[in-house]
Amino acid sequence: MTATRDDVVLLRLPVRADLLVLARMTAATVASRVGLAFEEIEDLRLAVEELCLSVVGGTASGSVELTFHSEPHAVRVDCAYEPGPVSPEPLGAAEGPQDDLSMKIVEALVDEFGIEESGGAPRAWLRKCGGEVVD
Amino acid sequence: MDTSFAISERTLEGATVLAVTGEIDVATAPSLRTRLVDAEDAGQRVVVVDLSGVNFVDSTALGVLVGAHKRLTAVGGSLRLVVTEPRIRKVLEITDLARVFPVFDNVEDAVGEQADG
Repeated sequence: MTATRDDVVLLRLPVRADLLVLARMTAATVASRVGLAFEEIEDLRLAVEELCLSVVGGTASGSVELTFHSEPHAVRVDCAYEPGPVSPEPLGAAEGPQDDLSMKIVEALVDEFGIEESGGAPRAWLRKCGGEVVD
Repeated sequence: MDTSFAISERTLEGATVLAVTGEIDVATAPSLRTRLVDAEDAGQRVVVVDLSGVNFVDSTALGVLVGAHKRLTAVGGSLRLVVTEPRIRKVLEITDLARVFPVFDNVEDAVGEQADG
């Protein structure tokens, strides 16, 4: 199957620890469709997870919307967080968010990324490109 | 490799060995933290986390390991990792944590303190 520039996959998730796996699964599927290699797909899975954790910031409330853009031998992922009611439950373990680790991981695994906050709603994006295609 | 998350525990030469399988992410990391805290509360000072059956770790998992490392070193103990999967080693290296944790190729070396550097 050949991905086109028009291929866009939208995924909207409640911020729940057990649902972030869906973001990783979607990333892997989209990356496979555009022809990324196994190692590149694994890089993208982890980077997308960290991107979500970064925008959510350890809060187990609200929702996160991911947009996966298929590009020629590359994937761009936009991630937007919509805050919800304040939850007493943290997302994940008691150590809390590991923002510094998340950013190190994303920076090392993708070709481009950015994060910004507008009106209290963090947004982030990344692009993972495939290596040279060998015929 | 078994992809379902599970933790098994045993004692080897006085050290607690937690063998983990599957993915350690924001959903499963709290379970690992609980097992680590239980071992610490039981008085264990040397804890080995065997990650040779793990195929995914995220920053939440790393945070749990760093937390246990800090608590154990504060009481004169140590947290040691067994890592055989290149992907897990890669994540430790890009986060500079490969220089923080003693990392071993197998459980026997980890218990025997023969770090591979």
